[in-house]
Amino acid sequence: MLIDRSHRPWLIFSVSALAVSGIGYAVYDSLSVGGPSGGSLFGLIYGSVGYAFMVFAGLLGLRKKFPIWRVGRTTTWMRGHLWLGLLSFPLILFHAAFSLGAGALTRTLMVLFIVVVVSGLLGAVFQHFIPRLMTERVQLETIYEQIDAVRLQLLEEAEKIVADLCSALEGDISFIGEEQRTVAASAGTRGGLTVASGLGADDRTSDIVGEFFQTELRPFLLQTRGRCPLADKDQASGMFGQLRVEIPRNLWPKLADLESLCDEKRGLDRQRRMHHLLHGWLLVHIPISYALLALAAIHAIFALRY
Amino acid sequence: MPRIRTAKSVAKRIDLQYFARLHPFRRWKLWLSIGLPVLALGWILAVNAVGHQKVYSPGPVSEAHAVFGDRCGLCHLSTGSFRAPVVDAACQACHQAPAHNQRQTFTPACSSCHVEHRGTIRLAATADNACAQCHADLKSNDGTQRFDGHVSGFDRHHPEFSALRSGHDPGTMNLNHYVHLQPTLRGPAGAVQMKCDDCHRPLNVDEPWPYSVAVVQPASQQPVAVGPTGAQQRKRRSVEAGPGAYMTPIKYVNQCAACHVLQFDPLIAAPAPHSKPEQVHAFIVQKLTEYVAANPAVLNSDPVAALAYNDEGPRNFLRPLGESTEPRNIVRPLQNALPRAQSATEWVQVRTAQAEKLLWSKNCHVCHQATEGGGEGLPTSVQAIIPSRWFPHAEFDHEQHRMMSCISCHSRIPQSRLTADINVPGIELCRDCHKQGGRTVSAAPGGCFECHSYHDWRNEKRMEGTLDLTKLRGIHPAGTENASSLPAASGTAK
Repeated sequence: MLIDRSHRPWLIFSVSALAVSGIGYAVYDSLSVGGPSGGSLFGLIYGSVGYAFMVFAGLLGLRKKFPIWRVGRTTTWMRGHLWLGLLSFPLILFHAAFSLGAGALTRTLMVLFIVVVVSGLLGAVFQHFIPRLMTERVQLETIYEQIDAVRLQLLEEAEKIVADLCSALEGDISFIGEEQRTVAASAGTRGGLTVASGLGADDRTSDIVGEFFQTELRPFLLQTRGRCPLADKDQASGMFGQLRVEIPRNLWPKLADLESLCDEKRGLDRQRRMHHLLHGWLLVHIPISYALLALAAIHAIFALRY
Repeated sequence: MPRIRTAKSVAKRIDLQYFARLHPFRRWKLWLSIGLPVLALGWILAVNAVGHQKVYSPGPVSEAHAVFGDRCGLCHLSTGSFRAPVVDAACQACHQAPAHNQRQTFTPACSSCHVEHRGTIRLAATADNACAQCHADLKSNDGTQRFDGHVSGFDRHHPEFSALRSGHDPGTMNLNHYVHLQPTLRGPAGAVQMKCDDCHRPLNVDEPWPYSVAVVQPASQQPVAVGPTGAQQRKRRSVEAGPGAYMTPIKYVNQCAACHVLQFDPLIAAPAPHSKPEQVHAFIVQKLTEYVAANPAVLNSDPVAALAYNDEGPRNFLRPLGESTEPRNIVRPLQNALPRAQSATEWVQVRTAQAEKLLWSKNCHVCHQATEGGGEGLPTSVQAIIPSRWFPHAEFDHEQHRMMSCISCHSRIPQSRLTADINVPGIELCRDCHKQGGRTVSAAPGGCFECHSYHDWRNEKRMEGTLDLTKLRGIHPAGTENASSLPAASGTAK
């Protein structure tokens, strides 16, 4: 979600609410007999409001599950999630009198809350910058969940191109053009491979291409992690340049296709990494948020009892 | 044909049913979103199952209560409803803390001042606000006002100490500190330079007094053991005032006797006791009677010459301070020649009169502010008052301030010549070190409780304990499992 001008009302509200509650806390701190505490009237007010904001922030998940509910636009909920969730942190700090909690439950709550807030802030930053970066740097972006399927499609495509290339290098005349046919005919025959010799290729070159496919290209297209030389654009360019030395010029378009495949695969890898950054924090943020809400409810019940 | 990639061609490769199957990323998110809250709730249920209520505690209890820190129900008494707050009755089961003042307009709840679950703090260390809720705008239930009504803290509107406000020392003894600190004083064994702790020592110092009666009369008299005075000794204090908090009260035999010898007659070695005039009179008569019985020839000697003092040793009390230490004879300033005594009784009468004249008019008068004529010609001493506590409503601990020199606080002492001089330091001096905020402002603590006790422990009542180990710790001590079957035990249980 972009943090843009549309957030201004939320920002103003949050800053105002923070200022009011901060001033209230300062007064409460100076007047409270035993020092500020979560169990005092003001402490309970701060805790209740803070928890209400947390619950509201947690309801975003539910809102997303039921997009047809007429309870406000999802973007509004998202902004509320962001700003009220953030505002709940200082409110809870006021509730806890800036203590990290000394009891097992209260300390756990504060640690979880800090993790949730930090991961949320990190997520907001990522969501602000990474989508733009992804648009710039990933040309052929696909659906994240389909990356593996597309990767396998790229592999199939590469296998076909390499097979064609090897066939051409091994003398399959269907791969040559008119000019080459003329050159080949004038060059005479040599061991039954008239056309191939006219192309300037032989079995050795085909082996080189085959080996390149098996040792470099295939592992690169199959891999999801780890480093392959082809994962680096410069190294890949060098390797393809070396192949061009071995392979006749008229087959270079096939090499260009393979190089394009590698480019696309690198783009998918880049998309995967960016996606992990863009959404990986949710693996921390969401589960811990639910745990936090559950434990905070228990904390509230027992705090009211005692 | 070169390979051409467009968004459309790429989109065509997408399996349109991909969302029907959960991608590992979404799967992880789902399972973690279920698993983590379940784990958290499982933790709470598990600790609940083993009765470990401490998990709900907002923080560790104070050191004094740590022994039953797991027994929430000891303090959190159920009110019959859902709530189980800490009520005063729970505190008063162990602490018979007396009320603060008869005239206070309300009594705050114990837990509002003694805030628990804040770790190993002293619960007596209450916040200033606890005191200020009344003292910032003090009211009494009878409308009278005995104290400053607008005190918010040590730094905020605390008045000057009452001893200084009164303007004079209520003591009735003559004491010139300036003179006593001069370097030319004559002590029992020559010139002395007195120090503060020659006379003023905390109660817990157990060392011989350098100018006690033992110096001049080792055999006949001994210094007395002096404990705290009633004002110094209280049943209990909320404020930690150790045994060295207060100075040992001044006693003649301990601090004065070596120099201010009460010799009444040059013929009698023993000095008069430092006692009531009647007892002194009886002592003099007895000693002179014994002397004349043992030395009848004294009746024939020159009565004036017999009254001359050989100014040696301890009998030098008449030497003016600061004068030469050359030996000399001091003759009583008799205006008229003494008649020779005709009998031992007359001799005793004459000499007793002379001795008492000397004692009453000179020796006693040096220290005792005034004497008045009493019955049988004996004076009546004004009651000797030496304040032993200067802060009647606060505690001060000299031991805690032992790193300071006496003069650094009692700075007016070297120049103090009058008993009426107030030599306790003013509040501003205390504020140089003690500030509200204490260590947070790199200062000594300046909270109200540092000096003042809320509870008037003088009114503390003895209480009978009602707890046992089972209630306190939840354990059955070894050998008591079957105690309930014993007649005595069952009787106790009732």
